[in-house]
Amino acid sequence: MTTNPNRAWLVLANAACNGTLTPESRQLLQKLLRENPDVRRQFVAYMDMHATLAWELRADNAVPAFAAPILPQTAEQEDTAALLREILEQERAAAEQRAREQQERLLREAQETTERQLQLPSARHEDSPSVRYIVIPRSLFFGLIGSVAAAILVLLWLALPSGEEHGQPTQNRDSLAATPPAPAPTPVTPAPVATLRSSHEAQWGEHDISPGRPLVPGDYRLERGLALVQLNGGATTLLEAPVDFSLVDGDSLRLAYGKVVGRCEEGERLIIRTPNAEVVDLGTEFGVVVDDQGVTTTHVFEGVVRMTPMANGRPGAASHIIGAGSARQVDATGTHVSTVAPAELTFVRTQEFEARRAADTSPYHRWLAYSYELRRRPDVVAYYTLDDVTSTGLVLNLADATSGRLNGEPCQSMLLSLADRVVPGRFPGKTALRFDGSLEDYIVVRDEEMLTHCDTVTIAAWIRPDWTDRYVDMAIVSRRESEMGLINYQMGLLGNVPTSLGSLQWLSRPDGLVMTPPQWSTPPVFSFEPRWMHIAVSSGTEQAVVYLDGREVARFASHTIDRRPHTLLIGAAQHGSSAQDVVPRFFFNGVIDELLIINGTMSASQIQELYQRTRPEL
Amino acid sequence: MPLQDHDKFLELFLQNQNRIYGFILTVVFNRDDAQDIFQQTSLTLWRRWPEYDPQRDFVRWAVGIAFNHVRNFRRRKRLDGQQLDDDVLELLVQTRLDEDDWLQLRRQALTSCMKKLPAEQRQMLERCYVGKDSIKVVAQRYGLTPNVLYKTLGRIRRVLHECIERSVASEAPAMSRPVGGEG
Repeated sequence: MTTNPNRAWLVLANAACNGTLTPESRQLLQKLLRENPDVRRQFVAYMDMHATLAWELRADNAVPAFAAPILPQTAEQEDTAALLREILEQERAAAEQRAREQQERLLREAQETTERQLQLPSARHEDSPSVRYIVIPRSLFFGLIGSVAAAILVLLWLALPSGEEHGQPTQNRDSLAATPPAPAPTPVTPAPVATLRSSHEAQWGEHDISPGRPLVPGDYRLERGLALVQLNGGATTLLEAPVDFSLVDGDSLRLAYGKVVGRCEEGERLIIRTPNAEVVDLGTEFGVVVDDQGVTTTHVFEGVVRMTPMANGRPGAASHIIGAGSARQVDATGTHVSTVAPAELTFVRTQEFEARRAADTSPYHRWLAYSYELRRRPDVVAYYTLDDVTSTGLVLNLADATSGRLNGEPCQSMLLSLADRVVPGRFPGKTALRFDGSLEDYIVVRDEEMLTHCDTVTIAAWIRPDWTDRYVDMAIVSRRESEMGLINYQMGLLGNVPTSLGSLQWLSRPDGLVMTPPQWSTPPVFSFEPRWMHIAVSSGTEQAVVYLDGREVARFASHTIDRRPHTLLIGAAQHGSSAQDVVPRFFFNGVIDELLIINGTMSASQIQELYQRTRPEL
Repeated sequence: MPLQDHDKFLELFLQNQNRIYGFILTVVFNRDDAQDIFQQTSLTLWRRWPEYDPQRDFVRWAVGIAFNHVRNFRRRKRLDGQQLDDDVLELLVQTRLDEDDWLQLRRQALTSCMKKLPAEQRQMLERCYVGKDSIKVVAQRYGLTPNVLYKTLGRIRRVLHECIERSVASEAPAMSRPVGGEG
C-alpha cells in the first residue's frame, strides 16, 4: 500500500503536536521525512507554527504576538482584558527591574568582597618581597560565579514559559507569599443521569462499567462491543464501538465520534448533539454517526427527527425534519446539509443487539445475529428469510447490497395468498413458507442485472421436504434466461420412491446457446424422513460442489454460468425451448425456510460455518 | 564576566529564545519535555557564554547546544516510541537552519492569520495552548472528548498553516513550495 505524502505528513504532524504518535506512525513519519525534502520543509514549518503558538500563548506571556483579545466578547470585557494586560505588563517590568537590581547588587557585593579579600594579604605582609602570589579562595570563586548565575537564572526564569503547563493553573508569582492556600474543595459526586442497561463484549476506555451501574455526566469511550444505555428521561441509546460520547443530562448525549441508535417512546425526549449538528427525537428510532472527518449523518428508522446543523455553537443552516427511511448528512463545517441514501444496516439496532447477547444460549438468536452479518456481506446478492411476508405481500430480499430490489412476488396462478402459506420455521419464533407441489405456486424474482452478473454462484437453502405425495423431482430454486427461456441453473431434489431415498440435483447451462444443459445428481444421500435439511451448491468456473448439512456429498465438472438477463424462481423451475414455450414445473412440496444467493464460490469451511451458525439445534 | 557581556547575552537570548524553543519542540514534540530541555539549554548557554564567538550566528550556536541536550534527552527516553532517529533529527535540524528566514516570515504571517480565525476557534486555540488546564478539562468545557478536541485543534492548525502558506506565497513566491494539504 502506498501512502499519499500530501495527506499523511499533515495527519502525522498533528499527531506529533498532540503527543499521540504511535510507534507505527512515527516510523511512517520518519520515512516521509527521510524521503521527501518538501515534506520535511512543510513539517518543519508546521511544527514551528505549533511552537510559536505554544510560546506566544503560554500562560505567563502577558503580551503575546497575537495581541488581539480573543476571549473577551464585549467592549466591557475588552477593557477589562486590556487593563489586566497592562497590570501584568507593569508587574512583569517591575519584576525584571527588581531582578536586574538584585543582579547588580550581587555583583557589587561580590566585587567588594573580592577586593577586601585581595587587600587583606598586602596589609598583613607589608614587608614582603615585591613579587606576590594572589590566591583567590576556591569557595569565594564558586560563590561569585554562583551568585551571578543565580541572578541570571532569576532573569531567565522570568523570561521562560511557565513550567506548570498541562496541569495546575498558573499563579501570579508575586502573590504566592501573600495569598494563603485555598482550602481543598470538597469532592462532589454528580448525580447519575443514565444507567448502563446491558452490554455485549463491551470494553470501556477509562472506566470499568458493568450493567446496572448508574452513569454520571462525563466523557465515555466504548472501545469494543455494544452498550445499551438508558437515560434517566427514559430514552434508550445503543452505542456501537468505537464510540466517544458524553452524558450530559437525563435527556441528552453528546456524540463526538462513532455510532449511536436512539429510541424514544411517547412522552420521552432525546437530544443527540454532535460537533456540528443537533438531532432531536420526536418520538422515534434513529441512528446518528459521526465519522473521523467530523461529518454527521442521521438515519431515521421510524417516526421523525429534527436535525439542526451547528456551526461554532450556533445553527449553521435551517433545521431539517427527517422522516422514516430517510437520511441527511451535515458537513464538518455545520453549514451544509445533503440527502444521502438511508443505510439502516450501518447500525446495530436493538433486535440484533439482543440476538448477539443470546447467541450462545439460543439457536434462533445465534441464527438471527448471523443473519445480520449475512445481510451486510457485499457478495450476498439475494437473501430471503421468508418470514415476513404478511406485511408486504412480498418475499423480501434482505441483502444490503441489493436492498430494495430482487423482492419476490407470488406467481399469478398462485391460489393461496402468501399469508396463507406461512408456517412455523425451523426455530420457535421464526416462520417459513409452505409450498404445495400439487399446485402451480412459486415465487418469482424478476430480471435484474445483479442476478445476471453472477457467473459463479453459491446457493444455500434450508428446506423441509414433504414426500407424502410422492413428488420426486422438486426444484428449490432455479434461474431462467429471459430472451430464449432457457433454464440457466437449478438446485433441487430427486427422490426414489421404491427406496425412499433422495439425491441432490444441480443443473447449469454454460454461457451461450446450449439448449440442453448438463445435469447432475448425487448418489442417494438422504431418506424421506421429515426433517430440516441444509442444501448448498458452490458453482465455480471448473467445478460445482454440493453440500448436505454442511458436508460435501458430491462434486461435478462446472463452467461459467450464462450472463444474460434472468428471472429467478423459488419453488419451481421453468423449462422450454423459447420464451413463449416455457412451462413451470418441478414444483417444490414442503417448506422453504431460507434462501441465500452469493456472487462467487464458498469454501467447504465457509459452507460448514454457514450450516453451523444457522442450524436449528445448539 | 563584564556586565555588558551579560547584557549582550540577554539581548541575544531574549531575541531568539522562541527560535530555540521552536527548534526543540520541532524534534521533541512533547511540550513538557521541550520545556525542560529549553531550560537546560538556557543554563548551558549562559555557562558557555564566555566561549561564544561573536562572529558566529547566535541561533546556530544555541541550536547546536540545544541539539546536544535533545540527544541526551533521547538517550534517556529512547523506549517511549515518540523519539525520532538520529538521521531524521539531523535532517530536521538542517532544514530548520536552512529555512530560518522563511520560518521567520511565516511567524510574522501567523499573527495576521490568527486574527482571521473565527472567535470561537481562536478562543479554543488559546485555551489549549495557554496550558492552564489539561486538554481533558478544556474538552469538557466545550462538551467534547479529548480525542475530538485534538481533531478540532488539528483542523484549526491546518487552516492556519494554509493561511500562512498563502500569505507567504503572495509576499515571496520564490520561497514557498507547498506540498499540499489534507483532504
